[in-house]
Amino acid sequence: MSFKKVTTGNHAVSYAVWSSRVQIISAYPITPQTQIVELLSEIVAEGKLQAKFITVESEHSAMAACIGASATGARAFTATSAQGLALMHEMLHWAAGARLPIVMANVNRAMAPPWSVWTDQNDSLAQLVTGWMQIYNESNQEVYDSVIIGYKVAEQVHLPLMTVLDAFILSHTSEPVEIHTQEEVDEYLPPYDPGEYYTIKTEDPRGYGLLTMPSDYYEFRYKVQRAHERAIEVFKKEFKNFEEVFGRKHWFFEEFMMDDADYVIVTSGSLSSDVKYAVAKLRKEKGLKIGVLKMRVVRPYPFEEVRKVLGDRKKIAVIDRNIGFGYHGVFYEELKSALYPLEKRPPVFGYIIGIGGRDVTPADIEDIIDDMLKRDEMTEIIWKGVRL
Amino acid sequence: MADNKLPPSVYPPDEEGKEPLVFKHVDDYPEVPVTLTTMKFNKTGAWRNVKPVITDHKVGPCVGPCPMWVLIPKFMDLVVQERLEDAARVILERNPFPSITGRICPAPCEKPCNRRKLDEPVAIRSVERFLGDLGVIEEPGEPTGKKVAIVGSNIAGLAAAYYLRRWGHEVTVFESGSVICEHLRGREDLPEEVLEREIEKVKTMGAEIITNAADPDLSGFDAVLYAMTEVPKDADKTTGVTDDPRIFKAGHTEPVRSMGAAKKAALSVHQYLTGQEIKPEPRPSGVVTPSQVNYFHFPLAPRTKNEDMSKEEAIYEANRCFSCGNCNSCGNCWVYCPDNAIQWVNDLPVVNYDYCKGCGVCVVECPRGVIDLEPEWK
Amino acid sequence: MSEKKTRRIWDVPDDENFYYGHTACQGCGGALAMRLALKALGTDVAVTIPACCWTIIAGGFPGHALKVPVFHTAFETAAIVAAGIKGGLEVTGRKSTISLAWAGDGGTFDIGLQALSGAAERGEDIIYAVYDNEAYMNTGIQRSSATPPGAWTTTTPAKRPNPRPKKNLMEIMAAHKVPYAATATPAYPEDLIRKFRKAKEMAGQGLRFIHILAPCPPGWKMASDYSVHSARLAVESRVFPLYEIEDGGRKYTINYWPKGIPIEEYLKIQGRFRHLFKPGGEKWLEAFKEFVEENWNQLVEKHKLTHGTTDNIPRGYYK
Repeated sequence: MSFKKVTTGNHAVSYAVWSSRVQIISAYPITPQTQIVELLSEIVAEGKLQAKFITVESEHSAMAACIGASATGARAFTATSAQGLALMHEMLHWAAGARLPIVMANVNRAMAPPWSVWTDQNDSLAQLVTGWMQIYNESNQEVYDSVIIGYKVAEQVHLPLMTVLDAFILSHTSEPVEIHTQEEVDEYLPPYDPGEYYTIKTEDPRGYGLLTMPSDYYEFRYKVQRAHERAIEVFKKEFKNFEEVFGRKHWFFEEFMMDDADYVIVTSGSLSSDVKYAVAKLRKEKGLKIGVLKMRVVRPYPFEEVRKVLGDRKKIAVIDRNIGFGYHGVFYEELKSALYPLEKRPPVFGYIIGIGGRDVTPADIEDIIDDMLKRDEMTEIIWKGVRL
Repeated sequence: MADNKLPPSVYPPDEEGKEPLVFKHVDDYPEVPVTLTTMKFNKTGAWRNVKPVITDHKVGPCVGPCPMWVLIPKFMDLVVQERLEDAARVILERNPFPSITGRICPAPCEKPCNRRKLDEPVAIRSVERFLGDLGVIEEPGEPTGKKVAIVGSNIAGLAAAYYLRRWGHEVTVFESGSVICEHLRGREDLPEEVLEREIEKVKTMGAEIITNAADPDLSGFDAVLYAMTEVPKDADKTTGVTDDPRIFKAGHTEPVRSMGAAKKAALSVHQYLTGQEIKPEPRPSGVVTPSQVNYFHFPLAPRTKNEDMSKEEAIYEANRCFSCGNCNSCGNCWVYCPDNAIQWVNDLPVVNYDYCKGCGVCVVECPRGVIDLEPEWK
Repeated sequence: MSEKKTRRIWDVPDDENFYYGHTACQGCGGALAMRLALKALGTDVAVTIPACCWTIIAGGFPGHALKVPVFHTAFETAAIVAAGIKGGLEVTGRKSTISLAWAGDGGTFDIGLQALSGAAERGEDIIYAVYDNEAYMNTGIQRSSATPPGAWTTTTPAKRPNPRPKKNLMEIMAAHKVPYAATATPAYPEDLIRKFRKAKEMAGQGLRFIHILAPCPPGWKMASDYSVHSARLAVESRVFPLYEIEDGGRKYTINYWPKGIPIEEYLKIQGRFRHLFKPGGEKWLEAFKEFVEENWNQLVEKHKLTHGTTDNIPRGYYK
């Protein structure tokens, strides 16, 4: 039987990793991630989880250790944040290129300089092209579920997956989370079966990730992309399976008050809660036909699904807690290109907010909605809350 | 669960009779970047511009100075293997009386010994004496029906008699005096019984020795060889050929050199009798110089002073021999090949030219100069 | 199988866990070192190779030059990926398999030092072998911290050769109190094989480190046939002594007392030291000799501290 536990986002990750019967954990401390692996090291030390915990000397090595372990067919996990994720960058490419189903929790934290430990999404969004799948979470329950779904999907398509939670707002904030028993998780998530030649075997010696000439390299890159495309279908199947086992619904995004909405606010992460609050309020007070689309899976990007739900709306505002320097908010860019192939497409407006953990209130969101309603075309980046 | 099946039409190219790997479609590739075969398809021999050749003709610097060109490294190697009789036969092939030369030879072989640069030369003469004293007797050859007269029962005459019997000719030695091989008698360094034993050997081989034959009738013989204790003035020095095609002459004041001359003349006689062109044996070529010896591969070992060796001493001394130019299967070329291109067949190295890149490591690492580096294109 | 009779003087296994057709340069010391190491370790080995010459040597897609699996990884991660592989092998029930990290000097002395230090300090159950060719050879002979003093490289030209002594990695490993650290070269195959076997037998005790001097004919600017010979000269001239550090950095043992041939014999066959013998090169020659002498003297002292004498060191002939 499952039970409710009031726990932080970080510990929700730890519990999910425990239930997923992870075999190798390797991590390096960084605020605000550290609690994830602290709890895991306790769980491993107490023998509750039969795993090997490698206390490496850097995030780069943490990912490298996971890569080595995963290459033998072991289920591997690590967690990091911001600078640590950036240090891992090289190995993120390696994990994806070697097609290793590692799951990692990244606590969204702003990149230095200047130093900041508070949240924004620039760290994880900087890794979009590495070949990792990415899931963004609004609540600690989503955080918990995403790890378990993550392994299930990653191990089928042989791609690594990063689940992302906001620094402090999720990582250090306690919420009730439904924690499942080992039997329930086992029912959903079987042991990792790496398949015929994905893993190192001394009885079938091969070279992995070896030198490849231009005549062959291209095809391997194509296969990574094809695996991402396949992952869309696997996600659909696994969301359904997950619902059957655990009773909770997940999708590439969450639709909130979307049924008759003319206007849609697209958002992600913990920011979504403020947006939902403001939207519900405006619906109630002003009868505005407005809804929220909370993006969750952004790699692979669910183009078809996004077009289906957003194609016939009147106006869309994308609120980004990140900035793709020299261009715009990353979610905004991506949504625009997703909608572009549609013949009749709604105007999309992009807003930047809450960078570096700057507080975001429902009032800020109401301002953004007001601005969107007045605006006819997008001429500039709209920075909400910056002292201009 | 995963896309991990190899396309069925793909075979490793190193398996004989199979098609090479073909990647025509993205699905011909494995899902992960992983190898599908070995590197054996990559014939690195094509990189080579020089090639190592494991020779079988090279000799140590000891062989040339020997009047009889005894293959010293070869018999030393057989002593190391404790194949003593085989070793003795290698000597007898070129020197019929190792018991005698093993005592009286000035041993010019030891002077240029490559080992001198490391410590002291190998005691070749003593090992030869040891092998000679084993008393190995050889069989005469298939009878040819030809008759040869040898005038003079000195050591040269006896040596010539020995070889002509080996080649199957009927041999009669005429000695004008009453004592066989008189010039070697009464020497301190050559006991009488050793000489007698060697003379007996020639008799056992079937040569007739007639003493007190001051003026023998030589008309019934197919060829006549005059064995002398000085260099004949009216004969070719390397073949012993004189103006009369039936008459040959050989000799030297130094007994061992006279044996060498007699051996050469006997070969000419044999060639004459069997209707071959008279051609002296070529001088051994491919002498291994000190620069071709890899001295690091030899431990220091003092020379055996005792000239009358025991078996153990002989084996020890033979182990001191570098075995120059003579592959003794030490395995250096095999162990040091970075390309795994030296195969070991019948306990001998064989170069796999499909893969040998021609780096030359085996040439330098061969302790005894057996391997030569030759240009791939001449 | 009947017992094989051979006259080979080598106590070296026949097994070749190494295919011909690999793409090492002519006379590659690193290739030979791997061939000998795998003779010692057998096939129950998983090899991790970071960016280094062996990335190329092991073969290009679709070919593989070894009879053991190889996981290719990023430059600075040899030690930790090997540790991850060892961990993965353990938790997937393959405890006997040896995890071997096989890296060049760049990936060990320089960019990989952090991961190596971490793995050594944590006592990861791996064998870490560095085949040291004393510069970044794969990228075209650039200086590394393993480059000896006075040496030419493409980033330390003959007019301003490498000014610093070679980093003493063995001491760094000793300071990590690893259970076993040893030097070896392919010029002494039995010694090298014995050390790999010893490292294999010490499974479970921590990181075992083997420092192999692997001559690089193109990088050292010498004839390829001198490859093994140069490694031997390095040992015999005390440039690269063969020794072992055991018992967590406490016990030093010199395995072989070199003949002490002039260092010039080692230097003169290599074009990278040519300028040492030209006008103005004397100070570099002096620096090199000083570096060698200091290392050797320190090593002898440490051997004496362990054994009380140097008389127990084998002399004369060693393989």
